[in-house]
Amino acid sequence: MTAENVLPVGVLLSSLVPALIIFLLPEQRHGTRTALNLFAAVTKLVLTAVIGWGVVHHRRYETRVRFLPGADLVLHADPFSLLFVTLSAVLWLATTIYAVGYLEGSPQRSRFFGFFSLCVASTMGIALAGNLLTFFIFYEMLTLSTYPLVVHRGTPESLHAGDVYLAYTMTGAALLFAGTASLYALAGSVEFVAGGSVGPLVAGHRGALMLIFFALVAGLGVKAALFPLHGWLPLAMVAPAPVSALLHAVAVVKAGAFGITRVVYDVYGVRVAEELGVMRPLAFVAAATVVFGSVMALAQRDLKRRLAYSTVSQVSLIVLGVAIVGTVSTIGGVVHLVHQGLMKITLFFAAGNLAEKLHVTRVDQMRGVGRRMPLTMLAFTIGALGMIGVPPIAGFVTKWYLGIGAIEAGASWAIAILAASTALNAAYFLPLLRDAWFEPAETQGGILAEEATLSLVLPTVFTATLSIAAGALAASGVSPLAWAKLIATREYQP
Amino acid sequence: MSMRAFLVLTVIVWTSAAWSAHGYLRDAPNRLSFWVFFALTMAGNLGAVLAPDVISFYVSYAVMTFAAYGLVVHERTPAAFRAGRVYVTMALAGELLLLAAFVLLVGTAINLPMGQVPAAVAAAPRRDLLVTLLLLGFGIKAGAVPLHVWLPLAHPVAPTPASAVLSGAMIKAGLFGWLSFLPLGHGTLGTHGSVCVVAGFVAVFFGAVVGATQRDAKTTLAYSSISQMGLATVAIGVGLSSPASADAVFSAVALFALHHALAKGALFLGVAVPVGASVGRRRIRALGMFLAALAIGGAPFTSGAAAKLALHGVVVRSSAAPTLDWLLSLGAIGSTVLMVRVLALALARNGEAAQRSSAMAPWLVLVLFPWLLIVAPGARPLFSWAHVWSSTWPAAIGVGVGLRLCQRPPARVPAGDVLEVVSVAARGLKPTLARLLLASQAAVTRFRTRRARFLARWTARIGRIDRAEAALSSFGAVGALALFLIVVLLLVVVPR
Repeated sequence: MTAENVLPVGVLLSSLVPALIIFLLPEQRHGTRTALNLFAAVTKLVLTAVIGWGVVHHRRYETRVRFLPGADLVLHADPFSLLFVTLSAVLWLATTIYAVGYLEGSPQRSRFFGFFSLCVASTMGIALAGNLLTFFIFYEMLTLSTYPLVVHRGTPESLHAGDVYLAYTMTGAALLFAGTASLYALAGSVEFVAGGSVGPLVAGHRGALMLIFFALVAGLGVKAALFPLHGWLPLAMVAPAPVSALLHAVAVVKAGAFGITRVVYDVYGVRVAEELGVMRPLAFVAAATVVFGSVMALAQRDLKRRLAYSTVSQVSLIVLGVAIVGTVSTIGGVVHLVHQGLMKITLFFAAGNLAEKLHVTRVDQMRGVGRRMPLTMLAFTIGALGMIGVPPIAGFVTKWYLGIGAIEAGASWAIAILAASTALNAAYFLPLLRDAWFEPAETQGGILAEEATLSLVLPTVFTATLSIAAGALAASGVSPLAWAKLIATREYQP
Repeated sequence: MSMRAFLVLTVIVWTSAAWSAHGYLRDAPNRLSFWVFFALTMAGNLGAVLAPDVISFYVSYAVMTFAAYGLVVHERTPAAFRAGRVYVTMALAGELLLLAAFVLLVGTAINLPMGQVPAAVAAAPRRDLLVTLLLLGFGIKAGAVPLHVWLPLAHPVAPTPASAVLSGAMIKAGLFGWLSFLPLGHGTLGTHGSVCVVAGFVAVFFGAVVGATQRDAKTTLAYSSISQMGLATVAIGVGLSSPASADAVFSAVALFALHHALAKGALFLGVAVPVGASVGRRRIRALGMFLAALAIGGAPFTSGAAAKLALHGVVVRSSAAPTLDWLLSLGAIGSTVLMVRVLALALARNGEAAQRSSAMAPWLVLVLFPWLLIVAPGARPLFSWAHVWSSTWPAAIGVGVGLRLCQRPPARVPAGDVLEVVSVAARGLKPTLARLLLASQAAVTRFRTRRARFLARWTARIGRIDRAEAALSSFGAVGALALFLIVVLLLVVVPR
């Protein structure tokens, strides 16, 4: 047992163990629970930093457990898993602080935080999974641990949303399982390796491999909210704000996008997938989702639903970047995994603050809220402008790389998709900003008199700052962009 | 070198505008918001002019573009919000065109130095597309016809000091973009050049004709800007079609931009010099407006004459020189007509209704600074008889026409001209669109009812299966089954 063997499990346990302890804690022990949550989040950050340092220096972190004959459970850390782990670890800390403030005084907090930690543990498992089977197990664990969060409020509406969520994700799971099992039957074992491992099978099993690819992508596409599998996402908006934030930025939707990226790059390998001719359809589906999601967002009057459809659109930009074959577009897609997370979590935090403090849930209620909640709305503005792609916020970097990548790969049509996405994003975000800042407001008291409490504002401002930093400091060595470049170069190495 | 002119004009116009805004907005309710957006726009504008590489330029330019929205809607009136909406839509379209252009141009080398840009554009694999995108993208900012529709709405509706920077400095950022990015002097782009020349002259005359019908001084000034930018577009067009003229184009456009920025800034700020001022102040103001108007009209011994001399120097290098030269003189008539209208409108009403005292000194800088241009070396031909004559006769005709128009003003074309036509057409189409929308909603409802009926049918069927199963699991069914099995057993076993 060396540190290299233990650390991946440590990352996983750093939220699994707290989850179990929280379930056992009595409901009233709020202080202990908060302390435990924060301690766990910080521990995870430290472990992540250690692994990150090691991965840069080409150390191999891997934990392997015998599970079934020919199918081990593997946790390993490569640059791509680390990107996702870091994103989740950082945003988990922010969301924990936010959730503590948001749920203050509400019932069933023990259950909430227990499943909350379990959800993050599953995300860690997904990120660190070293083969398709391990990935599948944690992916399903994520489905089950998010359900209690979606229905947390217990209203008929949220129970309905929970039903729909399960119906969609379980169907997805069935497809994913069928794909996984068939691939194991064909290949024996499916480890995640840069460049993929199914290459030798193409000659004999072309049709089967194509079919399996579509089964896997359709299964993962449910969580990634690819059109037409996105129906559950807008409904799941009834969940409390921290859950929406987590769902959209870190856990569920991202797990789908992450999974698709894994399948394309590390199961099939981008060259094999291209040869099979499955990349083009995937790119088209992603492009259609980008436009569709934005148009739907434009039609929404409920703020969180608008943000939800915006997620549908933005996550497909990740898939689009992955599906366009080329190093630069890969960088654009992979880096958007982080950028979209930072910006969208900011938007959801801000929307939560508005609902919590001013009971603003509809877009036509946003008149003058800028003056009343300046910090929250400043963060919201940064997130929204970032989504549009205004430099120097993170979204711009994504758009830039996707655009160049599309040209490099000879897929100039994608430029039109990017332009449409920008224009539509502007069409559904700018009027909100106009109403919020330029309409008169009845302010009461001082400038921050109506601002949300510190534990709600702090994470909001923090993630907004990160969104700017990720864009403005993109050229620095520790930016998400630098990391995405590392991932892309390792993938495209011959 | 000639690009320095843009830095000079940007600094002078912004400083004077800030100075007079200080007085103008002393008691305004939301002046904090004004200053935030003013400072952001200024930072963006200066950043764009000073940018060392493409990405810094793009970031600064975007900051300027988006922050200026706050200046346009400052008054918070419905007209301001409408102008803001049109502005931001057009500006965003411009940003998209430019982003596409920059992506095509620099690829991953996002920090391509600005000095190497024209050569890189000339060598780019899709040069023609790239040049088109650049012309359109910056053309929106420069108010090139037909991309100008936002300008006559947005410039007048902003507070006067903001109008001055929008029309004086910011519009020049578009010109600056053209000069910095277009491959002037690197190869021939005949088609693009001809299109620019034609579009430029269309702008010159279109701006003059529509502007002459306006009833508001600031709107007339905005149309004058469109018309004047047309002259710069012509010069750029000549530069694109004949590479040999590139140096002349650079210095002419830079000189022209400097002259126009200061004079137009002076005219806009002049509209708001206070009513309650002393007679002496009013006279100074009238005189200053008159001098600035002379300059824009291109009267002899003004900065405008110097700028037009430089433009003349460009135009003579074109293959269609005599025609273009004639058109330039005709354009000067138009400019003068507009200036007569502006003076009549601004002085008759003694300026804007709601206004506070604003400082005179910065304004006088704007009025007087351009005169430095005519004592500059190289401006000697300004004092030749031929040039004095060629700049006097259009101005004289213009004054005549202008005065005539003031006596009998023509019917007003609504500000935003083409946009009005489009929105009237859109309003006409609205019932049709509404019908289509209703039809599609009906279709969706039909689909929903059908789906519900379908689901209900299936639920009923499943229900029947359920009932069947319930019946099976009840005792009777089990009993019947048991009986059946016993009978079968008996039939099999008993015959033995």
